[in-house]
Amino acid sequence: MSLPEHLIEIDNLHTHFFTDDGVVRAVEGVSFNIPRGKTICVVGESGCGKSITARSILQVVDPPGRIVEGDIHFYPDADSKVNIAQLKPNGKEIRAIRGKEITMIFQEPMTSLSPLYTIGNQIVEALRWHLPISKKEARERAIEALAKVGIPRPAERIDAYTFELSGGMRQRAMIAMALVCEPKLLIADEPTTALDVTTQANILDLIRELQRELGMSVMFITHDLGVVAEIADEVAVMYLGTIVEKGTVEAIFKDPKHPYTRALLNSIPKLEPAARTRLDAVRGSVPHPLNRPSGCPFHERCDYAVAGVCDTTDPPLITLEGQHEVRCVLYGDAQGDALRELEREATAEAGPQIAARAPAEQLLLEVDRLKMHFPIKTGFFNRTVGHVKAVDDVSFAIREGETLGLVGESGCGKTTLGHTLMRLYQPTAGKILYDGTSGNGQVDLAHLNNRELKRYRREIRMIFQDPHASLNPRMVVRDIVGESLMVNELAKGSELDETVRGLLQRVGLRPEYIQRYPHAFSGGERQRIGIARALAPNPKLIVADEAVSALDVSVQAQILNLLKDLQAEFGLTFLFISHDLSVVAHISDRVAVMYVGKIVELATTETLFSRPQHPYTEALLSAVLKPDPTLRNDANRILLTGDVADPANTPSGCDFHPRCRYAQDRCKTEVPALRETAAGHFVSCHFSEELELRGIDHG
Amino acid sequence: MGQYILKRILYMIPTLFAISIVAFLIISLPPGDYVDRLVANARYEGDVITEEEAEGMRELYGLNRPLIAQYLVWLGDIVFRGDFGTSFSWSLPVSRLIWERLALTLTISVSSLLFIWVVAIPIGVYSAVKQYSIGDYFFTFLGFIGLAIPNFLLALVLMYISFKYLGQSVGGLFSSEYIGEAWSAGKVLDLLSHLWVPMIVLGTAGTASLIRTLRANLLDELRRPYVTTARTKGLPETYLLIKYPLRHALNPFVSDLNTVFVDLVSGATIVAVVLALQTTGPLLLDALRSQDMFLAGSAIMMLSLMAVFGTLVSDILLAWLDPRIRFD
Repeated sequence: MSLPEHLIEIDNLHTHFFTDDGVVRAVEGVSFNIPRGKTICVVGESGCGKSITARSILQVVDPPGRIVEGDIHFYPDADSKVNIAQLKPNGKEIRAIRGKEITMIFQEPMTSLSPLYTIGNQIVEALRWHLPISKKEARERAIEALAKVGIPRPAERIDAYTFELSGGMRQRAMIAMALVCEPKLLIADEPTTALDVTTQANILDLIRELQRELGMSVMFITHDLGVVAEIADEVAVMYLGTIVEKGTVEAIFKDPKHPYTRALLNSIPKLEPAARTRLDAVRGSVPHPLNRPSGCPFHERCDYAVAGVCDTTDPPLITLEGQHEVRCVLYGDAQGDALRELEREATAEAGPQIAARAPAEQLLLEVDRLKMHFPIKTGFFNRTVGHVKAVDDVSFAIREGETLGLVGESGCGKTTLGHTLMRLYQPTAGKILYDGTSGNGQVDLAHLNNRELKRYRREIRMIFQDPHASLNPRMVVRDIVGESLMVNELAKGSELDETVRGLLQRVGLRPEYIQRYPHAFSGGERQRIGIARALAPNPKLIVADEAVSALDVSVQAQILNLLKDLQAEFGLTFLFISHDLSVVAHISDRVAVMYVGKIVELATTETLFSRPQHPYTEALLSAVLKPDPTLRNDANRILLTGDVADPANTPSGCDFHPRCRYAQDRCKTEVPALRETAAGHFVSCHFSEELELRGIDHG
Repeated sequence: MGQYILKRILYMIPTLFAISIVAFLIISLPPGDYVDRLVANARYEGDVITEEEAEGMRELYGLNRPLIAQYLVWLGDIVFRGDFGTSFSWSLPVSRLIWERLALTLTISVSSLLFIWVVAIPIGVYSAVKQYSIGDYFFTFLGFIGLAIPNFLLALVLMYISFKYLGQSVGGLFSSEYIGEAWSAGKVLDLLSHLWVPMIVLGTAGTASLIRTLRANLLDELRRPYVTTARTKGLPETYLLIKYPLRHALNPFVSDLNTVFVDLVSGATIVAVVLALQTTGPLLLDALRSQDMFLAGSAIMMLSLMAVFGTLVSDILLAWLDPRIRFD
C-alpha cells in the first residue's frame, strides 16, 4: 500500500479563545492539506491566525484558547491515521507525536530556547524522551545534528548557552533540535523574521536542503512574500482566521485572484529605484478578531466589495483550474461586472508617479569624522579595557529636502549614528555641522551643551521603530503630540489643541482622538501618532529609525506614502535608517551602507542598487528576496558566512575581509579609505575599480 | 564558578569593614556613655559616685580616649584576638554572651527559611498553574491573612494553643530542666519540640509574600516561548514545568532570599521578646538601652555578618540557578 498523498488534512478547524471580553475566533473554519515532502507557506498579516493554526496542529494553543471544532487528520505512514483534534491536550498520544513526528521552530530563538540550559542539554532531552538511547549516544547524535545545520566546531558548541551564540547560530541550534528526531513535518513559525537578510538567506537555504535530504514536509508561516516566493511549493493566504486563497506558488504570484492577495502583493515596495511610485496601500488595518466583520472578513478594506452581498453572506469557496481555490464572491456566477473591474484595474498602470522633487543644493547637515566610542569597563575599579567603536570616523552630508537611506546588518552602528546625530550621546570626536533656518550659519552640534542644544532639538526630530514602546501609555494623544510645543513654549491651551488636531488630520487620524490614550490605537495608527509628534514643532530634519519595520506590509505601505507626502508638503529632510533594502530603495534619494561603525559605500539610490562597488553592498543586495518565484534559489546568490565583526575587536585591515569573497592579502593589512570613485559615489574598498559587482537585475 | 565565589567573598571584606565603622558610630552616637549611666543610676538609688571615681572608671574602660582610638582598639581586638570586649552590665566577656545566642538565632532563622520554602514553593506553583481555581482563591485568601496578622499576635495565639492543648512549656527554646545545662541528645530534642512555634510565627508572613511573588513570577514565565518549545518537544507537563518555568521563576525568588533572611535575623526581636527566646534580639535591645557599647556593637556586627553571609549564599545560589550570572 502506498503512502497517502497528504501528510495532514485539516478540515474545518475552529480554534477559539474564551476571554473575559468575549470569544475570540482566531481560527474560523480553516481547511487545507499538507502535502507529503513539500513546503506549504501560510501567509498573511499579523493577527490573521497563522500561528494559532500551526499551534492547533500540535495542540499547544495557550489557554484560554482551544480547538472547538474540526479535524486534523495525520497520516504518519501507510496504515495508520490519527485525528489530532480529538486527542487529549498534553496526553500521551499527542506527546508521542510532538517532537518526534511533528516539530516546530519559532521566530525568536533567544526566547524560544531557555538560557538556563546548554543547547546540548535541550537537544539531548528531545532525543532521549522519544528514543531508547543512552546519554552518550544521544550526545553524539546531537553533535551530528549541530554539524548538519552548519554550526562550526559542534563538539564544542554543544556545551554553549544560547546567549553565547549569535542570532543566526541560535536559530540553527533550534533547527537542529527540531530535526534531531527526523520528523515527518517541520512547522516553522516566522523563523527568519528576527534575522538579518544575510542570515535569512542562509537559514532558508538550510531548511530547503534539510527538507530535501530528510524528505519531510514543511509548513512555513511568514508575512514576507519574498520568503514565500523563495521557499514555497504551495501557498495558503490567510485573513482573519480563514484561508481566502490557496494554490501553487506560481499561481499565487503570477495570477493572484483574491483582492487581499493582490493588495498584499501590490503593497510591497519594489527594489527598482526607477519605479518610485506611490505604493498601492490597502486602507485600514487588520481588525481585532473580536470585531470580526460579518460576511466576508475582508469586505471593509476591499475596493471591489459588492454592497449587500459581501457584508452579509459568507463568501463561497470557489475552485478554479489547477487546484487554485479562492474564497471570494467575485468569482461566483452572479458578479461578472465587478470581476471585470478587478481584472481591468489589475492590469492598469500602477499608482501615480510621485511629484518630482529635486533636493536643494544647500547642505542641511554635514557630518565630519564623527566618532562615538563606548568604553568597556570591567573589574573592581571599573578600569576601561577597550572601546566599542559603534560609530567610527563617519563623514557624510545631507542636502535640504533629501532622503538619505542608511542600511546595514544589525549591530553595524546605524542606530547609534542616528542617536549621536540627535545628540542623545556626547560624541567622542568629530563634528555635526547643522545649518538650519536659525540664521546663524553652520553650528557644530557636537560641541553644544544641553542648554544651547534646546533650540535645535525642535528642528531635528526622531521617529522610532516600535510604536508600542515609544509612546507613553499614561499620556493622551494631545500631550504626546503637543509636548514639544509646550516645552518650547510654541503653543498652549486652545491654540495647542488646535495645532494637535491639525497634525492628527495631516497624518490621517481623526482630530477627535485628541484625548485618547495610545492603547486605543492599532500599530499603524500609533506610528502615525509618532509621526505627528515628530512633526509638531515644524522640524527640518527627521531621523526615522526603522520607522516601518514593525508594521505589517499593508500598513507599511500607508506609512511610506504618508512620509513621502509630508516631505513634499513641508520640505522635510529625512535620514531613513532601515535594514530593509526594498523600503530604502523606495524612499531614498541616496543610500549609505554601514558596516561595523563605518560607511563603506555611499551613492545615489539608482547607482548603488544597479552598480554597487563594495562587496558588502553586493552581498546585501543579493540576499534580498524578491516576490517572484521564478527568481528563487538563485545560484548566484552570495551567502555571507560568519557574523558582523565585533566593534570592540575589529579585524586588521578592512573590517569586511573575513567575510569577503574577493579578499586579498592587502585587505588583511591595509585599512581601505572611503574614496570618491565617481562623482558622488564613495566606496571604501581597495579593489572597487577592478571588481565587477552585481546589482539588482531589473526585469 | 570558583572564581565567581572567590570574587564575592573578597567583596565581603570592604563591606564588613564599612559595617564595623557604622556599627561603632551608632553605639557611640547617643550623648553620654556607660559611666554617665552608672552615675545617674547611683544618684537615683541615693549613692554617690564622685567625679574622680567616674574618671577612674572611664580610664579603666578606655572611654576617655578619642573615638577613633576606641574604634581601632575594639576592631583590632576582634580581628586579631577574637576578643569582643567586655559587657559592662553583665561583667562578662561579650563572646561568652553572644555565641550561643547567635547559634540559636541562626537555627531559628534557617529553620524559618526552610519552612517558608517548603510551604511557599508548592503552593505558589499550584496557584500559578491552576490560576483562578478554587484552590488558588483559597491560598490567596490564606496568604493575605498571613500577611495581615502581626507576628507577635500569632505568637501569642500559638503559645496559647501549645500550652492548652499540647501541654508544652510556654516560651523560650528549652524546657526549664535544660536551661543552663550542657548540650545533650535530650536537649537537642527539647529544642526541636520548641522550635516549631517561632518557626511558624516568623515564617508565616514570609511564606505569604513568597507565595504571591512566586505565583506572579511563574504566571509570567508560563507564557514564555521556551515553554511552548519544550511542550512541542513532547515533554510531559510536570517535568517541563519544573525544568523550565519554575527554574526561571525562582530567579527573583532567590534574589529576594537575602532580604527575607535579613528580616528574619534582625526583625524578629518583638517575637523573641514575646516568646522569651534566648536569641540576639532581646540581648541587643537591652544592650542598647543600657549603653552597653561593646555588647551592642558586637551584636550589631555579628548580625550584619550573618546578613552579609546570607547575601553571599543567595548570590551563589543565583549563579548556580542562572548561568548568565556566572558568565557576567
